Order: sequence, then C-alpha cells, then structure tokens
Amino acid sequence: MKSSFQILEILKWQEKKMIKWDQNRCDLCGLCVCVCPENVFEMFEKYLTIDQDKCINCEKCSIICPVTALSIQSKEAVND
Amino acid sequence: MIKKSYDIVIVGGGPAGLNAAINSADKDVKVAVFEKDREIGIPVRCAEATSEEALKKYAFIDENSICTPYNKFEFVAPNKTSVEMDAESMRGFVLDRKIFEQSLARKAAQKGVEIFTRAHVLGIENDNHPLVKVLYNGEQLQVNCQLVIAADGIESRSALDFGIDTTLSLKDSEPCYQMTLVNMDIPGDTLQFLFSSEFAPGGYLWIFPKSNNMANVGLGLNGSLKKQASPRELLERFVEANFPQATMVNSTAGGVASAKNLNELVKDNFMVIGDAGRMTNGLTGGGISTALASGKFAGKKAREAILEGDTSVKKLKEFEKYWNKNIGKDYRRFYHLKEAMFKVKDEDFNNLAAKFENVPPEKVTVTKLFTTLLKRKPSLILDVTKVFAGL
Ligand SMILES: Cc1cc2nc3c(=O)[nH]c(=O)nc-3n(C[C@H](O)[C@H](O)[C@H](O)COP(=O)(O)OP(=O)(O)OC[C@H]3O[C@@H](n4cnc5c(N)ncnc54)[C@H](O)[C@@H]3O)c2cc1C
Ligand code: SF4
Ligand code: SF4
Repeated sequence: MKSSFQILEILKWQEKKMIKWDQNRCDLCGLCVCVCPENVFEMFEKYLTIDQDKCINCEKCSIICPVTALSIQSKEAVND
Repeated sequence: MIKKSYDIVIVGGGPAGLNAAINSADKDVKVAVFEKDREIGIPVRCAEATSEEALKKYAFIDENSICTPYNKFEFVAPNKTSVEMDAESMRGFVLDRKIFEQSLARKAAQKGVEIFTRAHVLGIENDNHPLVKVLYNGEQLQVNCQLVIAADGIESRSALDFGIDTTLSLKDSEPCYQMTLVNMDIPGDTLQFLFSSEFAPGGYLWIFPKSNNMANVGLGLNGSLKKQASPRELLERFVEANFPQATMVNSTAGGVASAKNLNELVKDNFMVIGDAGRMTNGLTGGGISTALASGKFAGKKAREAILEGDTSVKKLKEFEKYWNKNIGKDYRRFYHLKEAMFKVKDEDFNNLAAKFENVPPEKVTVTKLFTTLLKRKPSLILDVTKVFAGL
C-alpha cells in the first residue's frame, strides 16, 4: 500500500508540467541557459540538454526565447 | 591530443578566451583553450561593430577582418526623424568576426597555445587544484591545471562550479534576432540605431553596414516586457516594411546580458571574463571590446600568478580590482543609464529628434543627446561619450 505522502508526491508529479523544446526552431542562442534559476539547461554545439526533474515551472525560459522554441506543457502533451 | 595537464585551461574560444590565451602563454606557461564548436569564429551571433580604439588598446587591427570602417552614428526616432552625429572620435569597424577570431587564434597558436575545437567542458571540480572534465571526440577526459579562466559566453556554466551565480533576471536579458541582408542601399560609414516601442520595446534596432550593399540588421528588446510577437517575427515585419528589395544571407537569434558585471570575478584558481562575467555594455549591448579587454587583463594576471606559483583568490583579486577601477565602474554607470532609458517614451525620442534635426552632425554629441533626453537625471550624464567609444 502506498502511504498518503507517496500518493501526494505522485499527484504532484502528475501535475507538474514539462518543458517542451522545439529543436527545429531553436537557434542555440543560450538565453534559456542563463535565465533559468535551476540550471536545467546545458547548451552543446548542436542541441540542448534539459534536466526536467530540476524544473520549477517558472516559465522564464519560454518567456525569453527569441524564437518561441520553448513551451511549458503538461506531461501527456510532451510525451505525445 | 589533449594532454593530462596544463598550467591554465581556458573554457571558450571567443574573443575573451582567445585574448586571454594570447596574453598568458609562452614557453614557461602552458595554456589550452577548449571550444565546444567545431570551428573558431562561428556561428556569428553578433552585429560585429567595435571601436578602433578598443582593438588597438586590447588586441590589434587585422586588416583582413575589416568589412567597413564607420565614423558616423545616426539615431532614428520612432516617427523616423533622424539625428546624425559625427563620431570621428568614436570611430571603429564593422568586422568579419569569423576572420577576426581566426586571426586571434593564429596569434595564440604562435605563442604556443593549444586550441581544441569540439571540446565541450562538462564541469570543473576544484579540490586543491581544478580538474576539468571535457568531452572531446566522444570521449570524456580529465585535465588537471593550476587555473581556469571561464570565457564561455552568455551560456556559461563554469562559474557556477566555483559558486558564482551567473543567473540573469528577465529585465537584464535581451532576446535578439538579426539578419544579414544584401541588396541594400545604405551609407557604408554609418551605424544606425532606431528606437521604436513597436519593434524593439525597451531596446533598439540596428543597421550596421558591412558595405554599401550589405548590412547586419537586427533588434533586441528587454526581456521583462510583455511582447506581442517574438523578436524574430518583429524583425521579419520590420524588414518587409522597410527593405522589401533586400535578400537575407544569414539569420540568427542571440542573447545579450544587459546586466551589471558580476560582483565576484575570481575565486581560488578561477577567473571569469567576457560575456560569462556579464561584462557587456548594458546600454548598447556591445561586448567585443570588454571581452578583449578582460581577456588581456586576466591573461596577464593569470600568467603572473602561474609564474609566482600563487593562484589564490587573494592574488587573483588584483585582476578584479583593476577591472572595477578601470572599466567596471563605467559599465555600472551604463547599466544605470539603461535603466533610465527604459522609462523614455516614443514621444520623448520624437521630441529629441525634432530638437536636433537641423543641428549639423559635427555639433551633435552623445552627451548633448542624453542630457536632453534624461533631463531629470543629470547625475547619469557625465562622460557618456564612453558609451559608444567602447561599443
Ligand atoms: C545579436 C547580437 C549582436 C551583437 N552585436 C555586437 C556588436 O555589434 N558589437 C559588440 O561589441 N558586441 C556585440 N554583441 C555582443 C558580443 O557578441 C559579445 O559580447 C561577445 O561575443 C563576447 O565574447 P566572449 O568571448 O565573452 O563570448 P563568446 O563570443 O560568446 O564566446 C564564448 C565561447 O565559449 C564557447 N563555450 C561555451 N560553453 C562552452 C563549454 N562548456 N565548453 C567549451 N566551450 C564553450 C562557445 O561556443 C563560444 O565560442 C552582440 C551580441 C548579440 C547576441
Ligand atoms: S532560448 Fe530558445 S533559441 Fe535560445 S537556446 Fe534556448 S530554446 Fe534555443
Ligand atoms: S520553467 Fe523555469 S525552472 Fe523550468 S526550465 Fe524554464 S527557466 Fe528553468
């Protein structure tokens, strides 16, 4: 049996949104890396890595992106 | 091949990192530069203008890398009234940055610097001395050194490994978009700055010529303002409306940190310079000159530290103090000026332009313009000529 605490954690996890990165739009400008307070992004030569677990859904990255390559979405939407 | 150890490891092969390499290396001081991209100098995320004085003072003038010299500024108000300004004392060049950076790299190589491209620094541990983890050719290597210089640009994460927080607030970040256009008809000797709350709220548009026919045209806006469209869409609209005949040969997104310099630029065995140190001019977004300057000063100090066998924070603070006294101080001013400019409205720009419209270009000065614009804040006006001299 799961404790109520665990259930709460699971619910929280399900509620949590994820960053969706559109690689075709991204121009690797680096702005999301430097506004993210949780150090979620790292920029390589041709791609970003995104550590979703660290994200606190503050939305700064999606606000700052010059080419709207980032959006914050529910888990299902990202996994589709 | 990457060796097991160097005296100094520089993260990032842009103008800051390469100039730090040039100024620190010789046969007694072994220096490596790790650059994540496959070629030095690209991609170019820059409008490529910088002052002649800065190049002479902090690096050198490489004729091959000059696209066009400029000696005039033109400021265009939202209603399109424009003010021309003779900028002979602040003259400079629109560069081909790829060629420029490659000539910095050649110079560094002549001094014995080992430059590695496709070398991505993953992280740095700093127990007694730094251990740099680098991904090179698909292999993860560990490299020992005495001192790390972080010159890894706006996307820097190296400083974090040393406990320096480089996170930017939205209001200190400027999302930009730029196109290089051909089939233009523009004066080849003039940098144009356009103000418009429609296209560049909290920022400005630039048209920097690479010749009479070709220009870098871009815009940057303040990241904290709610925008109706992305910088990319705004620029597309602007270009369509103003240069319908032009053709795009390059386009890029970019980010400018219009922040104050970091408070801390050094730790034990560590220095941070250029965009990574948030050293951009908060008002203009220019950062080539400060990248070169900080590279030079940090490189020289790093070299001294290695030769003396003292890379402690106490020793390296000499760089920080020198920086703050000579450049950081002015740049904090520019930052406050930026904050004041933020409150300037379209009609203020229009009124300003109307006042100066018929004043001959040689009589217009940056100081006069700012004094008129920011009457309420006289404390900010002192010596603003430096704003563009350091572009
Ligand atoms: C749109 C735009 C227009 C601009 N226009 C002008 C202008 O006209 N004039 C001007 O003076 N300034 C301009 N700037 C600012 C200028 O481009 C920067 O200030 C300047 O490039 C800073 O140099 P730097 O060496 O500090 O950083 P960068 O030139 O960004 O170099 C940093 C290097 O570090 C590398 N790197 C990053 N992370 C790693 C890692 N983990 N491992 C290995 N390597 C890494 C990067 O690939 C990069 O090559 C502009 C900026 C933008 C975005
Ligand atoms: S801010 Fe946007 S364009 Fe820039 S690196 Fe991040 S996702 Fe890519
Ligand atoms: S939403 Fe906030 S915490 Fe999450 S990745 Fe974006 S900037 Fe970072």
